[in-house]
Amino acid sequence: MNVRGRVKVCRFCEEKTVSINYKDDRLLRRFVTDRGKVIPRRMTGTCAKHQRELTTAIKRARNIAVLPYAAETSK
Amino acid sequence: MARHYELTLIVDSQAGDEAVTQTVGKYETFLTDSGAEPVIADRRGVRKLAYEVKKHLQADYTYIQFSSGEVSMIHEMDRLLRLDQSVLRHMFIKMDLPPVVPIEAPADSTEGGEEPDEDAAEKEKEDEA
Repeated sequence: MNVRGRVKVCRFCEEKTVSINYKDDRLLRRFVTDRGKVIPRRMTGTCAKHQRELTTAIKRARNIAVLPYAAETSK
Repeated sequence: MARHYELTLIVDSQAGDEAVTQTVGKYETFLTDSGAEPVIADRRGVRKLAYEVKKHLQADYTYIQFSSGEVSMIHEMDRLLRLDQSVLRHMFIKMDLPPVVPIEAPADSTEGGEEPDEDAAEKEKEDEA
């Protein structure tokens, strides 16, 4: 996805108005794979601080069935 | 010192809208009676679950923000919620900030989440404060 040499900037540092919330599944879905795994920082360019917030939000969202723990068997 | 919490309630929607309102109302009154202040409920309505919960594929979501200094009250409420058959799932979250009235989330039209004018949005926030 990310070509070596092209540095991606953390989305949440760029856009200060975007806050990480466990209820916002549309935002969180961009940071998990279609199978439901968290996408690593090196792929998305998220900074350490925000990645930390993201993982907590994703785990909370999974708890309340907003995000899947794992995708159902492929259709 | 009062702590701020947010409670997510996932209620069985098959019993009908009124039954959900009643269930949610019951826990709201429980909170106010236990001295929680303020209690702000945000009913989001029926949504699809990401996975099956107790054989249900969809359920009614409500988020209740409140502040309370009593931890024992949370434990008691947690016990009641676990016993309640109509509550499919619940979750307490400790928040850093005091409860605020939720701003209506924009409809699904805003794919991408790009703010057209960031400065204007920031100014609006300042005006509110």
